[in-house]
Parts: sequence; structure tokens; C-alpha cells
Amino acid sequence: MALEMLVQAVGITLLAPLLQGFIQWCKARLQNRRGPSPLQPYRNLFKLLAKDMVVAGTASWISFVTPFVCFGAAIAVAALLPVVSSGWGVSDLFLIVYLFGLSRFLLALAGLDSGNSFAGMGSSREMYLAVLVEPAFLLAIVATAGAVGTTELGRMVQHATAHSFTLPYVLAAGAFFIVVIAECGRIPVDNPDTHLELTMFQEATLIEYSGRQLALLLWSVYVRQLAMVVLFVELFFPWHWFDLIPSLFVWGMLKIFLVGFLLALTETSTAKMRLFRLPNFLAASGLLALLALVAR
Amino acid sequence: MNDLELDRLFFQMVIIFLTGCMSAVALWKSPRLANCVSHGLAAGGCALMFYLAGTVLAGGEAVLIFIGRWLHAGEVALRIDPLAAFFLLLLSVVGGAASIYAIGYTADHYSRRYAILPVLFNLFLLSTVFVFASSHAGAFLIAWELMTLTSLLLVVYEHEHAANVRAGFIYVVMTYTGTAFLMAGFFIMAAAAGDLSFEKFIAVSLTQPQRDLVFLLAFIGFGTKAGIIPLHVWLPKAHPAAPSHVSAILSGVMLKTAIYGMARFYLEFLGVGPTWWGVMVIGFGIVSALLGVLYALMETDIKRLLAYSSLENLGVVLLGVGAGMVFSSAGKPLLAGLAWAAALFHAFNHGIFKALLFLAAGAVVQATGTRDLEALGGLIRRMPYTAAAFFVGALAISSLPPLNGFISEWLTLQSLFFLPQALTGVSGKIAGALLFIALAMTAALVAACFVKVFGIAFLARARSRKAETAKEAPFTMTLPMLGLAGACLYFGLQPHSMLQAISRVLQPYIGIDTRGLFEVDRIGLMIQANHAEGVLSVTLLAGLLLIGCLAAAGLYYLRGKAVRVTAPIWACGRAATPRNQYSATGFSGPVRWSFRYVLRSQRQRIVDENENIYVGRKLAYHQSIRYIVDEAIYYPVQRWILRQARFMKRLQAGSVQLYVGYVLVVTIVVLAWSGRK
Amino acid sequence: MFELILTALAIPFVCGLAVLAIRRPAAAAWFNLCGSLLTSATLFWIVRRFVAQGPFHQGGFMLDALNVLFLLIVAVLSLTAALYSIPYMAHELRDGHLTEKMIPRYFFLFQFFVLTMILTLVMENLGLLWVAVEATTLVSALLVAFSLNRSSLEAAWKYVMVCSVGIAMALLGTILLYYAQVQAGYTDVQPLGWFALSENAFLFNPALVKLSAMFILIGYGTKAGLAPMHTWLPDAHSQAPTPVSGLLSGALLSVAMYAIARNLAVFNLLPTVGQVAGQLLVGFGLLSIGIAVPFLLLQHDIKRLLAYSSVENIGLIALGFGLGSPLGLYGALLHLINNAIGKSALFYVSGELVQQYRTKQILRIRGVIRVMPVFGGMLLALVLAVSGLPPFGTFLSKLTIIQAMFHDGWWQGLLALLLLAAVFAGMIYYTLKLLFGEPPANLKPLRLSPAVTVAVGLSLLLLVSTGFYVPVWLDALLRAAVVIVGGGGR
Repeated sequence: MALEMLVQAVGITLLAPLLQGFIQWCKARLQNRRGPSPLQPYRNLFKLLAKDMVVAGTASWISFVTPFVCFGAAIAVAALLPVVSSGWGVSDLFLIVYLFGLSRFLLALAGLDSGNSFAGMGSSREMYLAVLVEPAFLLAIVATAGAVGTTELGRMVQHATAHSFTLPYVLAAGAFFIVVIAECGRIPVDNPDTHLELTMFQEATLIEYSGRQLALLLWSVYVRQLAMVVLFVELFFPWHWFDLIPSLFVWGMLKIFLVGFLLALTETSTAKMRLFRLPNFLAASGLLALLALVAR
Repeated sequence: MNDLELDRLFFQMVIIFLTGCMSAVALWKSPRLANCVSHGLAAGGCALMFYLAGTVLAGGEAVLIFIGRWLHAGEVALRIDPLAAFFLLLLSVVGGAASIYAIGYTADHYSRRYAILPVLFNLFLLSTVFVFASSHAGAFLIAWELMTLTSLLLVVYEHEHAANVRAGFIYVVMTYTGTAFLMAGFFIMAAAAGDLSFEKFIAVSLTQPQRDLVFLLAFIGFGTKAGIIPLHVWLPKAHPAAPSHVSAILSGVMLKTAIYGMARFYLEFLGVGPTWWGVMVIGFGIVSALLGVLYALMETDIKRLLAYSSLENLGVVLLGVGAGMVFSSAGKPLLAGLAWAAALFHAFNHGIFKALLFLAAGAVVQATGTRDLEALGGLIRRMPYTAAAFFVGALAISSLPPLNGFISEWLTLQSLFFLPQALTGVSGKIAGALLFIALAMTAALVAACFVKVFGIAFLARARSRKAETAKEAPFTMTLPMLGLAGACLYFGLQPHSMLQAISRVLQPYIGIDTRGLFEVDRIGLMIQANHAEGVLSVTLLAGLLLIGCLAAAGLYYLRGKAVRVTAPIWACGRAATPRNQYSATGFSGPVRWSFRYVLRSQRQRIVDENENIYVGRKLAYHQSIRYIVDEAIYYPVQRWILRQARFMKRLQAGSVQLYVGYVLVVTIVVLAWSGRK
Repeated sequence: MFELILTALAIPFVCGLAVLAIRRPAAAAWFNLCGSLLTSATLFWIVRRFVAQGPFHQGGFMLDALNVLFLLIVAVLSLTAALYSIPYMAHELRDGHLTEKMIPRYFFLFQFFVLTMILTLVMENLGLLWVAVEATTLVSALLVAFSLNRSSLEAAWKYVMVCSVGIAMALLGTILLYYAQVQAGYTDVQPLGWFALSENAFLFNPALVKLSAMFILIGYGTKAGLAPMHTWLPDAHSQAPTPVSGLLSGALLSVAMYAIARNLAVFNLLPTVGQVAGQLLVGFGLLSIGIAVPFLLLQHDIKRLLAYSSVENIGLIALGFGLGSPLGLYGALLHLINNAIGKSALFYVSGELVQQYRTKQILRIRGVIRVMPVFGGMLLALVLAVSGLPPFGTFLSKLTIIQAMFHDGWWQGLLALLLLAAVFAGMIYYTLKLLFGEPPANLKPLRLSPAVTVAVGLSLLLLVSTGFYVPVWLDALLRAAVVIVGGGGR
């Protein structure tokens, strides 16, 4: 088991930048640009891993530790996802939410660590976003897991496979998609492509990072993004037309990149929201989840 | 170890605490000596208590100590059963840490009246011991009131600040009133049971309205102590007012006496009740949790912030308690066991990490002389150990893995997750969902709150001269902090032993079944309850985190030696000053805006127009929130009472004729009354 | 025994007269203390003898468990009051509030006040009991008016007026009781004798006894300061010299409660009457506690604050008596003792404060804990004691009374508890004001005289010890007294 888990973790980690590159590529295409290759994130990470780091003089060991712990948490999440078969019977959804919470907590601290006011603002907004996202996240979980009677991911996936595309799952899918957008920091919640703009959240907390540490942080962000997408796919699109393509792996890939495309599509077709409009956006997610609950 | 030896151990502990008092009195002329001896003895007493409680908790057998007969009120006895032992264990850990911490901390307070401090401290610990150990309502109330009194005196110890005295007044009046409700609850049971001993109260036969009444009375009584909103007004005032080592015990242990009392009443005396009991407890719990943390997030006084956060944590504990009661009444003993275990474990964990945070905050306040977050900053370099300890506490209180707060939060989430099994129907589902929303929001707000505290107080650059020159606390202070931080980590990674002890604590009570609830196998912690399952593998998690971090380190060094160059931060081309840093008020801005209808935030901006409008325009900014509970309940009630009092005073204006008239009127009324058929 | 009682009465009589001959104030004070010591010693001796030998009755005097309890109170309080009088009078003289000539008169009245109280307690005849109660009013009114200034004269005037009306009611009730006795055909026994009554009262006409009960309760209730007949009390207690205030609040109110208890013992022989009388007392009790609340919440005068606290405590005791159950009676009797000790000591403390700060205004008395730390501690302890908090005996007795209340239903008990909480809020609010804050700059605190410390410390010691342990003999006395008041005859 342990070995499989590690293999899965490594696999997801390695795949994560590709999804990011794919989304960026799709976006560029949708915007009639040529855009960088989908492999660009790998090149970026590889380059950053070789670079020296410029560290703020005011930063403490918190800044130093954060990239490692964030990466560690991302690895843990990647290992716990029920991708191969139906998981290990040990992955709890609450645990995953709180692991995300751990990296967010440290990242926000790191933002405050340097004393840079942009980073501080990013921390503040990141934590504010968490206040909105976490309820929506947990509610979407309850909407789906409530019928299963457990929050163990493997069992949830099994249940989802058996009841795919019933009304509660469809409604919950809508709710969860909004959560995915918010967790991945995509438009209309956050704009991952900008630096130094007053709208930014997560990118701002990274502002004082450079070189290897930045690589680790970016990578963990990518892993988190992929994890969210995988969760979404596992819970809400568990179907496989084996007549068409017999391979489970290929199906999985197809679905993941389809969701990536959806994300790119949303990013292109909507505009970034004002910070204080976000509660309404996430309330929509909550409402869908509530409907899913009632429909059960 | 048999009963007799534990008996003796208990009395030895009592004697040690009393010796602690006496020695401080005897040595009052040399505060230094009094400090070391008295607080050292307190720590010794706590060590004995730890051993005693641990033995009882491990053995599962209660220790009964007979004291005597008391007036008409039956046999007075002390009984340390597993429930009491569980809370005594918490007291011993927190009290021990606070005692050692006090040696270093109170060294700053040496003065003529210093001896009072250790005397009261020892008495406070002792009376809290008796609160947990008493098995007789009279003895319990004596201990309860003594605990209140000694803590009151500790709260007003620094009476040079008028605010502390005011806090003490509100505190003592609120708890006195709360105790009145408690007494009523006890006496209603006593009227049915015959006397005041707890043994007679067990499953006492009352009519249903009487049971409801006792439930409500106990809820108000203990709720006042626990600081349930809207009975909380004393808490954010009193807890910060006390010296920090006392604040730690106030928040860490004394609040838990309320949870202990609720467990006694609702588990042992009243047994399984109707569903609305639990629902009510849950309702108050969630309101306390959410409002408590909102106020905490708005706060810039570090100790008051911690006090408000205690409201939040007690709210979470109440969620467990309430869910347990709901499950009991729905006939789901295993789930009831799960919920109660979540409540007790969270109470325990909160005791530890809140004490840790208060101790660390105390060290900060002592080093910098201010409690205002906006004046702190950069302490992580000046006070590395304190910062590390506070960091662990902040992680734990934000219920992040792999620390103890996460485990109990997870258990609470699980028990709420199963709540629709007891509250059937759509309304149950919706209620459960809303609870989830609120609890998740609470958790996120707590995280935001402690990012704020740690980030503003310890990180970046100092915002004031005092913070710039702060010095690390002596080892007597850092050691207990680090010890408590270790405990946070230990119970996060090894929750099994404690959870199994808790299931032994809960097993005897009606409506609860904990057999096989917490299974530990090679994967980790499992909960199993008929139609409910959950699994949490802490060791696996820790392993994965570790592997992940190692992998990150591998990547870090993948392409050779890392070079780090230090540079100043970028501030749009200007030299960054500490004033450029994000402030605590600014940090909580978005939340304040979002919750403006609850928080009633107000801001005031004063612009000095006389200055040159291009440069150096003077700006004063003032931000405040208004407390909705105070304004909606307490102020009107206070005004009403005073208005009535003023009116009543007119009845006695000094005229003898009127006075004689009263006597005559009374005579007539009484005669008419007595003559009625 | 008879001789002992006579001695106990003779000592204050002789001392009171003798002190008039002493010109030097200090000597008079010490002489007074010696007299009180002797009186108290005699009283204690009586109590001891009683515990060993049991009830006693001879020549119009009697001793049973009930009055022995009250003798105990008088013994302790007259001693502490005499002790406190020494520094108090010295200070008043120094401040020029009194002249040297007035001092012997004070001690004369003091001794006679004690004398009348003892006399009230040992009277076997309920008629003579009334006479003795009236005598206490006379002497104490003179003490209230002692300083002969405008406000004290007014207070004494109110005291006499209101109490006269009240005591007239008591007389009427006593006469009605006598009439009931005669009507029931008991003309050959001693009229209104306690023993005769306790043997035969259950044969009396209930309607008549009920009427008498109403008058007696209102009458002695006025004297005991039960609301709404309490109106004289705050003035009288705040205007009297402080040692006397302590005696008035601690001992005299208790003596009035004794009169009520003694008569209640007769009424309780007739269950219907006992019930009505009990209800009336419960009503008075609740009203007394309630009426004290506004005056304690808004108060400027430290001595009036304490006076209202007395009203509240007497109300609580009346509650206990009114309940009629053994538990309630036990609590009430125990509370009488505890409250007497605590309240008198608190008056001494307040007197000392008033003298040190030269004002009765609470708002001007500040920072006691800084100026006189030990004394401030005592003040706080005593306030907690009279508010019924552990570790003081008052807590136990209050708890017992409240517990008894819950045997008849819960709302009265809860009401009483909430009212007590409001009372406590007022008391502690002003106490904290007194204790903390910035003391006036021009205040030069004098050294506390050891007499005060001894008097207050002794009271505190007694209160703490009753807080944990009621001695066996006292417990036996209380139980016997409960039987008597509860209508169990002798």
C-alpha cells in the first residue's frame, strides 16, 4: 500500500505542472494568442530550482520553512487521493481540507513575515477568501458524503460511481466547481497571471519569494490545483465508457484535462470580481449544495 | 495502587498546596524566596495531582474519600471518578506549567504585597481541585465559590488599573448570579433526592418539567462560567486582567469546570433528555463559536483576543456536548459517545493550547510592556523560544494537522456530520448543513485570527521602540511553554491513549456506549458506530508530511548548493519602514466589512485640512466595533434596573408620617389577607 | 443558674451606674470593657452550664435552647462592641465630635442597652418579653440620638415613632394572645407564661391566635426591620455611634427576631396559624430582600449601605422562620448567629473608615487597600461574609435556608437567589470602590488601634470556623431550638 501511495503521490506531483501549462495554453488559444507551450511550467520550475534566492532581510525562519511544509502538505494530499482503485480506506475529506488549510496558514504567515505591505494584503485577503471558501467546500462535501455516511474518500467515490448523475450529484457538482475555481485561485475569484496588482490573493503572498523556494511554492500550488480537479472528477464524473477507450488511465487523463479546459473557458469568459462581491459568488455554491442536500 | 494510598496521595497534595500558601505568608518579607518556594510547591502539588489523576484514569476505578456529615445535607465525600480525574489531569498539566512559569513571570511583580499572589494562586489551584473532586452539592458550591473568589482577587491583583477592578466587578457579579441558578438546580434535585450528596442525584427521579427546569438552570449556571454568548460579557474583561499565568488557568481550566459540571448534570444526574436540550446546546454553541471568533479577529489587544477565542472554543466544545445529547435522546449511544468524546477531548486540548498561548502572550507583554498588537512586531528574532511556542499554539488552535486541535476538531466535525441521523427530515438536514457552514467559517476565521496575531506580533519588523528592545523570557518561563507545545504535538500524534481514556470516562453513563468506538489498528484511528464510520490516520499523515518535506528538501538541493542573498523588501521605490507593514486592523478589514451587520463596525477619519494638501496631510483613523449582545441586552437591562431602583428609592423619602402610614397599610392588608376564606 | 442570670443582669446594671462616676474618658472605656468582659463571661458560663444541665426555669426567668443561642450572640457582640468603643470614642473625642462630659453617658447607655437585651432574652413571660423589648427601644433610641446633632435627633425621632406604632401592634397581639388563653379557660395558670402557653396553646381558638399572630408579627417585625416596616432602620443604624450601630444591627435585630421566634413557637402549635404566620413571614422576608436591592444599588452612605444589608439578611432569616421546616429553622437560627457576628464587625470596619477618611460618603473613600492593606482585606472578607460567600459560616446558613425554600417549589427560591445576587452586586460594587482607586492625597492614615483589629479579627475567626464546622454542642443547641420554634413545645 505504502509504495502504491508514494507512486501515486509522485505521479500526481509530476503531472501537476502539465495541467497548469495546459490551462494556460487553452486560455491563450481561447484568447486568440499562441501562448507558451503546455510544458512551459516544467521549464520554469527547472529554471527556478537552479537560481539563487533573494531573501528579505526582515524574513525569519517562517519564510524559510513555509515552502517545504507547503510542498509536504501537497504531497500528502496527492498521496491520499483515491485515484488508483478506490483509495486506501484512509483518506478523509476533512483531512484534505485541513491540509489545504495548513499550507494556506503558513503561506499567509510567510506573507506577513517580510513586512512587505503587498504581501500582507495578500495574506489578509487569502485568509478572508478561506473564510468564504471553507464553508462552501465543507458544505459541498456534506452534500455528497451525507448519503454515504462517511467522509472517507474511497467510499465516497464508490457511492458516486453507483449514483452518478443523479440530481444531488449534479447540483453538488455545480457547487464544487465554484469551490475548485476559488481554491485554485482562478478568475473570477483571483487572477493567477498577475503580479503587483491590487486584486491579488495568493500570488501576493509569494511576492518576496524567489528561486528554489518559489519553485517549491509554485509546484505545491500546482499540485493543489490538480488535487482539486482530481477530486472533482472522481466525485462527479466517475463514468467510463470502456467501449470507447478501454484504459482507465486514459479516461482519467481525458477527464482531468477536460476540467482544465472548463477552467480556462471560465477564466476567459468572465471578469475578475471585486473582493467584496465574492461572498455572493460563494453563496451560490452554498445554495447549490443546500439544494443538493434537500434533493437527496 | 489501592484506594487507601490514593487517599493519602490526595491529602498530601492538599497539604502541599496549603504549605504553598503558608510558606508565602511566612516568607512575605523576602518575595524572591516566597516566589520560588510557593510556586515550586504548587508545581509539586500539580505533579502529585498528575500522578493521581493518571492512575485513576488508567484504572477506571473511582477513589472515594469520606469527609464527614454536614448539617442536614448528608454525607460529604470527595470522589475522584474517571470524569473528575480527566479534568484533574488537565488541571495538573496546565497548573504545573503555570506554576513553573510563575516563578519567572512574577519576579517582575516584587513588592510589599507580593506574597498575596502565590497565596491566592495556590488557593485557586486547590479550590479548583475541590470543584472537580467534590461529590456533594454543598462542598461543590463552596469550592466553586472559593474558586470564583480567589480568581476574582487574582483578577483585581493589579488594581492600579481601574479597568481591572471594573472587570473584577462584572466577573464576580455574573458568576454569583450564575451560581444562583446552579444552586437552584441542585436544590430542586435535592428536594427530590433527600440530601445533597451527588450519589443521590444520580438518575434522580424528577418529573419531566422539573428535569427541563434543572437542565435550563444548569445550562445558565454553567453557561455563565463557560462564557456562552450571551452570558460571556465578563470573560473578555476578566481573563486579560489577571496576571498571565493566572489567565492561562482561567481560560485553560476554569472554563472547563463548566464543561465538567454539564457532564455531571447531563450525563450523570439527568440522563437522557428530550431532543430540544441538545438542540439548544448546539444552538448556543454555534453562536458562541462564530461570534466569539469574530470578536477575537477584530481585537488588537493580544490577551483580550485570546479571551474571545476562548469563547469560540467553548462554543465548539458545546457543539460536541449538544450533539452528544441529541444522539443520546435519539437512541444512538455510539454516536453519543463519539460526540461527547469530541467535546471532552476538545476541552482538554483547548486547555493546553490556550494556556500555552496565554503564557506566551504573557511573556510578550512582559517583555514589551504592551498588549497592543499594533505596537508589536519582529519578536521572532528577539524572543525565539516564545515565538516557537506561540507558533505551535497558533497552529494547534487553528486545528491544523498534525496538532492536537485538529484531532478534536475532526471528531467534532464527524459527530456533526452524523447529526442528520438523529435529526431526521429536511429540517434536520438543513440544520446540519448550516451548522457545517458555521463551523467551517469559524475554523477559517480562527486561522485568520491567529495568522494575524502571530504574523503581526512576531513577524516582520518591530512597530514600536519597546518591541524593538524586547528580551527573551527566562528559562523558567520558556520551559513550561515549550513543554505545553510538546504536549500539543504529542496529543496530535498520539491521540489514541487519551481517546481511550475518554471512552472509559464516558462508558458508565446512560445513553452512551463507547465500546469499540475508537479502534486503533496499523492504519490509525478509526471510529466505528453502527451506520457511521470514520478513519483518521495520524501516523500516516505525519509520515506523508515528513516524506513530502524531505522531497521538497531534495528538490531544493537538486541543482546544487542554495545561495541566499539578503535584500531589503520592495516598497514602491521608497525605503520601507515598519509603518508600511500591514497592521492588525488592516488585516481583519475584509472580514470586518463582510460581517459589518453583526460587528456594527464604525470608523472615524479625521483629516487635518489646514496642512499643505500635497504633502504631509495629517490623517487620524479610528476603528471600533460595537458589541451587539451588550447593546441589545445588557445596557438596556442595566438602565432598566437603575431606573427602577431610582423610582423605588422615592418610596422612602424621609417622611415619618409616610413611614407610619406604611406600617398601618401593611396591618390593614395583612388583616384582610389573613381573614380571607 | 438563677444566681448566674441575676449576675448577668446585675453586672451591666452596676457597671452602667458606676461608669457615670468616672470622669476620664479612657478609664471609662476600659472600665466599660471590663464590665462587658464580666457580663460576657457570665453569659458564656450560663451557656456552658445550660449545655451540661439542660433547660432551666425559675422566678420569671427561663433558659432553653432558643434563648441560649441568642444569649450567645449578645455575649459575643457586647464584648466586641465594648472593645471597639475604646478606640472609637477616643477618636471621636480627638476629632471634637464629642465632649468629654458625654463619654460616661455613652457607656452608661451602652451597659443598660446590653442589660435590656439580656433581660428580653431571659424573660419567661411573653408579656414581660414585650416590656423588655420596649425597654431596648428606649435605651437604644437614646444611643441613636447620642451625638445630639440634627440628623441623629431626626433618626432617633423616626426610630421612636415608627417603632412605637409597631410595638403597639405587638402589644395588641400579645393582649389578643392572652385573650385567647383566657377564652380557652386557662385562668389558673400564669397568663402569657411561656410554659403555660406551650402546653396548652393547641387548644386555643385558632381564629383569635391567628389575629394575634398577625399583630405580633407586624409589631416585632417593625422592631426587627422587616420590610415595609423597616423604614426607621437605615437612619437609626447609620446615625448611632458605630459600636452601637454594630450592636443594633447584630444584636438588637436578633433580639427582635427572638421575640418573633418565641411567639412563632406558640403559633406553630396550631398548624393553621403556624401556616399563615409562616406565609406572612416568607412574604415579609422576600419583600425585605427585594426592598434592599434598589437602596444597595444606589447608595452614597457607607453606613446606610450596611443598614440595608441588615434588612436583607433579616429578610433571609424571616424566610427561614417562615418556612417552618426544620431545615429552614436551622438555617435561620444559624444565619442569625453568623450574620450578627459578621454585620457588627463590618460596622466596626466602616466606623474606622469613616473616622479615617472623615466622611460617610462612599465616593470619597478610596484606595483603602493601599492605605491600610490588612484592614482592606478584612473589609473585603466581611463584605463577602455578610453576602453569604464561603468560606464563611453565612454561606452555609444561607445555603440551608435556600435549600429549605426549594422543598415547597422552586420559584420562591429562585426569586430569593436572584434578589440576593442583586444585593450582592450592590455590596461588591461599592466595596470595590472603597477598596481600590487613588486614595485622597491629604489622607494621613493613623495607626489602627489593636482593639479594632482584635474585635474584627475575632469575628472573622468565628465566621470562618463556622464556615467549615459547626461544633457539636452548637449543633445540639440549634437542633433543640429548631424543635422549640417548630412547635415541639419545650
